Amino acid sequence: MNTSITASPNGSSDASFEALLTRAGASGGLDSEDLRNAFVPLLEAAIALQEEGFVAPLRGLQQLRVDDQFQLGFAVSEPLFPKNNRAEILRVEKPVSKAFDVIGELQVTRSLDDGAQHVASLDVVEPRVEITRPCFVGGYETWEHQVGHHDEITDVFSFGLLLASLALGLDFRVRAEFEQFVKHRTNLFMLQPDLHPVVARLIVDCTEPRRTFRVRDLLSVLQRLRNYRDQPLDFDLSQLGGATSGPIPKRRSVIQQALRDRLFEINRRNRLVYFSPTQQSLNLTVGSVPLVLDVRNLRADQIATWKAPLSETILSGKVLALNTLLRFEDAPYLPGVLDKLISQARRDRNEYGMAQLRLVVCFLRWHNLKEVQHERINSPLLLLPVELTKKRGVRDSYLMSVPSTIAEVNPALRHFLKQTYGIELPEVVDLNAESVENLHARLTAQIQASEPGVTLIKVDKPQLELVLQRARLRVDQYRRRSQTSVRSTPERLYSYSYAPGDLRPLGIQLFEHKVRYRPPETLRNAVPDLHRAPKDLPPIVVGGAD
Amino acid sequence: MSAAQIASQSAVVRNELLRSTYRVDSEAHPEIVGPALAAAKALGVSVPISVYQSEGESSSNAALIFVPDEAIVLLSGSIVELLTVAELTAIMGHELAHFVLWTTDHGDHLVADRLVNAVANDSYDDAFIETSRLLALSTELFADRGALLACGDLHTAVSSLVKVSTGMRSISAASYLRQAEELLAADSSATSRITHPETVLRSAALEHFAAGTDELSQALVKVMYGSDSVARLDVLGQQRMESRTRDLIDSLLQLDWFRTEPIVAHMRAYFSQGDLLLRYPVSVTRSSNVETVGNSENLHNGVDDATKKFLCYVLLDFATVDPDLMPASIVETAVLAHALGFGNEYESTVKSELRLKKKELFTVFAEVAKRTAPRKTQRSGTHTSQDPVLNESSGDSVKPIDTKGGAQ
Repeated sequence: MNTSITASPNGSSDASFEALLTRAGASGGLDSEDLRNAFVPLLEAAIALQEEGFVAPLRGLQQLRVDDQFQLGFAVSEPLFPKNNRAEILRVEKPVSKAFDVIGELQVTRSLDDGAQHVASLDVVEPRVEITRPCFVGGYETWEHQVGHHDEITDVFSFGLLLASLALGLDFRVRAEFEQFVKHRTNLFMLQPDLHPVVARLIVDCTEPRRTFRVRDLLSVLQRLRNYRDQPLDFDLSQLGGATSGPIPKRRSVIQQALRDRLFEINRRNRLVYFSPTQQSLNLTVGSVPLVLDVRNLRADQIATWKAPLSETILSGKVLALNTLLRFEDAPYLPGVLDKLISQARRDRNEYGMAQLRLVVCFLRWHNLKEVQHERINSPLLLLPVELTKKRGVRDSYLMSVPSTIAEVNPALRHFLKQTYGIELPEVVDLNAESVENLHARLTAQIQASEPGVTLIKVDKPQLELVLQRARLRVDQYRRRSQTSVRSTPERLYSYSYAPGDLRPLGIQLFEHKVRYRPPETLRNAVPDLHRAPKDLPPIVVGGAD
Repeated sequence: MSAAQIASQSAVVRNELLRSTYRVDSEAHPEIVGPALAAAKALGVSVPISVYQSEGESSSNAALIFVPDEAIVLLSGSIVELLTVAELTAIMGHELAHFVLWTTDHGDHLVADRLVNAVANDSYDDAFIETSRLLALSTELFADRGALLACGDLHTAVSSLVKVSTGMRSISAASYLRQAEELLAADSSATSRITHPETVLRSAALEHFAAGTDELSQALVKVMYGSDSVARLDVLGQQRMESRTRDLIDSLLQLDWFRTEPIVAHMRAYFSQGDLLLRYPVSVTRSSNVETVGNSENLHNGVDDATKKFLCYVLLDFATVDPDLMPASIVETAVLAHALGFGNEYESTVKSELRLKKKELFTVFAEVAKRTAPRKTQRSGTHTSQDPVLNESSGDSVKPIDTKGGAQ
């Protein structure tokens, strides 16, 4: 058993913790990488001990050993069993009130002579004072030690103290230095500006006096310390040009812009970049295709694309009746999708104050040459805000209107292209003043400037065969779905009622449907011909042992 | 089928096999053809046997390709390396048993199998699909018996099954059979396999057969075929459920006051040739008939929720179809439902489907409780003391006391 708990790599003590502390004190705290080297072995040893049902001997510094590589470990001959004093813990942690939480106690002293005010934290209690609430007791001990309790959560606190001590270069046995730590515990950068934010967070989380809010286990501490470099830092202003100097309004706009850009999440779930048709979108081009038998009977002007006269009608601000544009008779899914779009837009307006319904004037189909070269990415390029309304009638009609002719360039795509390729796109395009062709030319020019080998082709003629095929697929898909949805809930097939005036009993229906034998359709015709076997029977194969 | 037709069909199959498989010759591969011949001898198959090995299939298996004048076994994967000679004989026995099944009785089984399959494939009727599934399961159990007859040893037959399905080279058949026993003791839910039952169940069935009984044990029947449920009836199950429904309705119609015109008309909607007097002489008491229904249907155990729901709605039909009888008919049907063990389900159906006033409901259920209370004690007494007698005896030998009277 001893072998497993002698955590110091070679078991010898070449340097003492004091020596390490002195070095740390001289340089104002150890570097993050040194901290990692020192503490990972200690944590691993402590976790191994806890797995065997012991606790780490982390009360005071007596059991700590430091080897020649400045790695920490224990020098224990006798394993330390957990101590349980739940009653005391409950007494100390008993909340003052259910309504509020006491998170600290301060003593404010005001001198009557000169009016000076002195604020002292009462979180560090004097030695040999009875513990009445979660607090700091000074040194490398915890209040739980004082009340005779020692478990895994206690170890987390002890470990936090050691980490803080070395990271800040403070000797906690010196009361003034300990009080300094407690005073700045929530903002350790006051003591050590170069402290890595993840390490600082770790110290704060581990040295929480209230056990409920402390980190629960050393394993997560180990993982955080091991991977401290991989964890995302908080917003770092110093890395943002122009955010810390210059006139305040300009700084603000820089910071706001950076904050906004952080909101873009460019991954495959971002439908503004990786677009794929869903129930929340409707392809007007596909919906406008008449399902003719032969593609040669299809004329390009029957299909809705962004061309005159359709684009002119839309931009003129007139209300466009979608019934003239879309083929409701061919595409039975249209009313459902349109209703869904309308209700979604209404909900957005109520919840967010603005509708997010957009008409995509054109798509950009492109390849990200820096990542997956062969993948075709389909992103909306120009988004025109539109409003959809439903006018009830014998045949409901759907109306689309455009409040403004200013289309926005897909912000996620614009941000992505700027970040990746430095391509600058305008934020908005007034479609009355500037045509899509212009935008195409601008985009082409920018692409050609960086790589002449890449071309951007404008597709303004619909590929009739493809569009027709898509339209057929979409209708088929809808039919299949609606059929399966009926079949999956057979109970709904029964229309029954036991109301006195309207008796349509269910029992007889269930009996007819499930219990009564009905000769199959197939057999009615097949049986008379049974004796005349078909000429070439296909061979029958039966499965084997499995 | 004429001889010429058979010959031409066999030729087509044979040519296809020669094109796409390897023919296992009896001279070059006696270790493979030998077991096949031995199995044929054991099963009394007199037609020529030929064995082929398929190309490009990785999973180990064997299949019978059926033509009437030749038994063709198609092997796939590394089944030959996997099995010992005795186990290979068992597998051959399994495949040849399919041949035996389809050639005996002038090929009636083959015709039945193909008809059932064709109907199941063509129709949306769940009963035919279920029938086809159960037939496939039973066919496999039959074929497994062929495996046992061919090799003559239960453990060899079981290990051949397990080896083919798992791909393991060494198997302990005895421990696998213990596993089957354990499973049957612990889990009685019916198999949902489409064609082949789980290997462990097949092994258990085979062990049962090896012990000398043709019929499957109760437990095996339950896991193979499940108990009759309205949610999943095959064609035969439909017949059983139909007669169960008939019994239920008939036991209601024992009451003179119940046989009003609307009720009899509704009964005819269920059973067009429903003739009351022929089926039930008036002298039979209602209560005794309730007992018969209760026992023959064994409603107290093994009836699933879907079936109970169905029976509840059948009763509800008769409770409501004649509004003049109304509160009394509900009480009567509820008493019957209690006697058959789904009283609580029926009461909640009544609550949810009939928009009765609270007071009316209360009166009805109070009446039901009053009627069922003495009956329950009497029933439980009969059950503990004379259950076997009760099961065998016909309805009229039991004379429970109808305390309320008015039943006849």
